Amino acid sequence: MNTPILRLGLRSLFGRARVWLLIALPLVLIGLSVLLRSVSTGMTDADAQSFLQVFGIGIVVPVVTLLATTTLINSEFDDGSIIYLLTKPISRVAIIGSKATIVLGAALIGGAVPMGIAALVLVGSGGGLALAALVAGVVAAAAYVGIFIALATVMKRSILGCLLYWLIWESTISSLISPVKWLSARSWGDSLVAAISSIVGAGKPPVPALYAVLAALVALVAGVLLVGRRLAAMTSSDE
Amino acid sequence: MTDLVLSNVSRWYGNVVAVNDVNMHITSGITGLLGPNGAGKSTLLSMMAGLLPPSTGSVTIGGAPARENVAIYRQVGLVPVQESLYDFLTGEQFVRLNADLQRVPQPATATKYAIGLVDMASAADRKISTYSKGMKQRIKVASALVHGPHVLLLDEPFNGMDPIQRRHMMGLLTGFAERGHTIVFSSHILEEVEQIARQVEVLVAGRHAASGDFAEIRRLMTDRPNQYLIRSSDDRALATLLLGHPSVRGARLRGHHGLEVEADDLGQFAQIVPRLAREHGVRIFELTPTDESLESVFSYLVNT
Repeated sequence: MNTPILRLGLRSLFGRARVWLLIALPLVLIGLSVLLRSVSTGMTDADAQSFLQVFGIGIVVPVVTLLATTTLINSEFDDGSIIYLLTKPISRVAIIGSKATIVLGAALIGGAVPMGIAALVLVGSGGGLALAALVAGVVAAAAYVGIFIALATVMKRSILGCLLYWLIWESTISSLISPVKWLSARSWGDSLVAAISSIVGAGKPPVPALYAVLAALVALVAGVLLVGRRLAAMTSSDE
Repeated sequence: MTDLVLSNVSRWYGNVVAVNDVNMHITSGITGLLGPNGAGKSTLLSMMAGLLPPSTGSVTIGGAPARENVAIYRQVGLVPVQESLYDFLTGEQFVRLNADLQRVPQPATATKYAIGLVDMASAADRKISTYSKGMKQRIKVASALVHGPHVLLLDEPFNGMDPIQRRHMMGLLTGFAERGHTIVFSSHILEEVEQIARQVEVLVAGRHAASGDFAEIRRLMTDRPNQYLIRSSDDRALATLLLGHPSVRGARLRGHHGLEVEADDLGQFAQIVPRLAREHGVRIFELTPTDESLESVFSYLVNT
């Protein structure tokens, strides 16, 4: 970990106008929760939980993570400004580890915490849903950070590649083909919501909670190490 | 010692050879890397900076490999050609970032000093996004100097600078060289290079075409057959007169539109044309050098 790079990452993400993009989605999540709570009369606690799984884990967490990854990794490679970090006596893994830390922080502030708040708005503190949503948000965010930074680097810094992965693998295939649940950041998040909350009738966790946590950690660490290795072999004037 | 040594360095991208078997031994002082655009100057500098692995051969700085060796960056400062900086930072924040990343002992003092060196103190508190091209260039140089590197690599450092800024930067680099640092900069402009570089390395189409001090390179470039197009009141008579002179290698009438002349010695040729014309009452309407473009100068060098 490298303090100047952490500070630079914070400035880059939160010191510019694009911070509003990061804030918009969590605000929509909380806004929708307020709306559902006040308008919809027949909504059960189980409905609230599945709303958080679909919209929170399924959309808000990955999109916020992707936005942060794009800002801190893709665009710095594309415009070449990363060269100022690469020509310093700092290990490549420390560079990418610091960047991943900021992305994870953004995903927690813009994804996991708003999910907890949304759960409080929807059902109050009943059934432990708020804690479940928060923890699940953290785990899904960690997994998405690892996956997105790896994809962003391997696929020639392509944002499209990350988007396709999210739309096709996480949003489509993982709900159609059952074994994919073992390899899906979304199902790991879903599992934790279901495992921690005690709401009845909300379905069982797709994979065991312990496995989900470990898998997310592995994705995060593997992503950082892979990108660190890739950076060691990075060429800056290729294009 | 912080000599920069390239041994049999080649670099290719797929089928395209960007740098072809280059050997260089660069010592302290200013070395100019001269070549037309696309000659492989940036590729070579990236390899010197350890960013790009050579396909074959090796690059060492002070005996240590430049590649996969991040410790080398304590001794190296790089001013890349890209204009993109972290332009949401102010100039001062950007230079300070580089000082912090280099773990300079007194980052605040070093930052102030480096900014002063490039004469940017008055604009240091402005965001980089508001800077002109020349200002960005100077703040980039400050960021590369902030840790006092022994070796400074600059990719097209004078791009976008006005003449005053250019002279200031040249003075800065010269002063740096006098204190024993090794400086390598690339340029496609001969005049820039010969003003400050002690040693010139010419790169054309990836090949190391020539090497020497600037007087040598200048002579190579000017003592070559030059071609001119002349339009006059009597092309045929002028052709006869010119061919009588030893500095003229050939003359060829080009229809009714003019006379193509090839001459060896630029200095003499410039004197005899007006003299002969005046003595024989021929009026010159136009005299244009036809191969003055840098590419033709370089291709001449490659073919010798």
